[in-house]
Amino acid sequence: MNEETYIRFENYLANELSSEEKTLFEEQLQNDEQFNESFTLYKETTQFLEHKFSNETLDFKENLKSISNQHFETLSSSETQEKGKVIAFKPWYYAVAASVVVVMGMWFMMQNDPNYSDYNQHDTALFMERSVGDENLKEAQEAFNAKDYKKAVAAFDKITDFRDPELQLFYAISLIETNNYTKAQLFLDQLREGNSVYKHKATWYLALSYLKQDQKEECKSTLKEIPADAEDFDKAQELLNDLE
Amino acid sequence: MAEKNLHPDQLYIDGLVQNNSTVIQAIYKKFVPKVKNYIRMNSGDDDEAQDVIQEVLITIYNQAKTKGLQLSCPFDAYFFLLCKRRWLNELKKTSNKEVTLQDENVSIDESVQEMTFQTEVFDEKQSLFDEMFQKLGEKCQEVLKLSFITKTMEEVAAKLNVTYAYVRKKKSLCTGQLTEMIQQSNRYKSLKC
Repeated sequence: MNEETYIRFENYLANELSSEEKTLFEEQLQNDEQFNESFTLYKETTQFLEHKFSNETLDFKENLKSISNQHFETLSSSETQEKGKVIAFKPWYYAVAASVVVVMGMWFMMQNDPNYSDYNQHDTALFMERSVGDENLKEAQEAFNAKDYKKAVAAFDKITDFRDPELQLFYAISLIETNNYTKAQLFLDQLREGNSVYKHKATWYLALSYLKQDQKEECKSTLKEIPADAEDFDKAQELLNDLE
Repeated sequence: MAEKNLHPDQLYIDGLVQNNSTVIQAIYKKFVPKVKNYIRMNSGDDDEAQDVIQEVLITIYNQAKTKGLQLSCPFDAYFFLLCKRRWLNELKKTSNKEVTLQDENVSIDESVQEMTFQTEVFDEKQSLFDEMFQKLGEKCQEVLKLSFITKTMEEVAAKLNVTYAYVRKKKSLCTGQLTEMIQQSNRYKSLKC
């Protein structure tokens, strides 16, 4: 293909041909196979470059890298700890260890009243990675991760766009933490009716909200709604057992 | 038509496309340990596993973002097979490593194979485009890169201190040159189907 053709390709893609030129171009696409093939590849190459250099792609790679590093670092540190524990173990230690286990087991059996604080280890909020520049979001995230839920709620209150289900979930958690149950439930119900990945997580948190309010029956029936393939299923079953 | 076969695990694909941290973390939590074990059992270490996994996730992201990706099988199987095959290729390249293959006899579901195949073809093409881009002249690389990361071609012209008309022309010629290099490569011919 000659230079002229590539310039026409570019102008067509940028929508900068006159309507006559455009008609001509499209006619040629239909009738000239080689022209069509070259244009298809030109278009594909443009898409490839566009994607390769887009901010979104760069953001994704960066975010992925940091999550990956987090994952592999915590992993290796827990493994070194395990290795550290393998030291000479004298036989009589077993007796001591066994009795400790028995005592602890009995203690746990007597503690059959689960409460909210057994379960309120929340995921880390990481929504700032995507939307750089929103101060309220940043403040909400920092306060949330620092477990300052009052401050997190204040920051969330200033945010107007709650279309992102992730934000809804973290706002709801902060509201539960600050005993603002009704408003939390509004967000959770919305998530429960939706189809996001947080659908079942929202049900789990609704159950925790009931637990915190000491409404055991509501808590139990909500826990039963969590399907077996949900991430929180095991925890839900455990809590159900404790409640019954 | 493809819609009806969409697997519920599509949510992982969508989460990657949206760069949703919670979903990506969930992938690491749920699906990565199995891959890591496999690589460890087959002459690899954690660093190598980490790289393979990241590359596969980037490939899935690229495909989903540019071509749309409709998952018709469980994410777990699809992701695992992609990682496993990438690792085996890696081992073949550095063949001084001893390969002890595990569980080769497990039969693989057809839809998983089909999905994996599509993704590998996509990735092959993508890496060919990448390779050819690296072979372009420096000036062309610069103009193309700038014209895609900068909002308007006027700004690109200003940055390069040339006229708007020149930069427009240069962009089309460089893209054209890249397409010709791609077309002439043997790999492209074997990919075309």
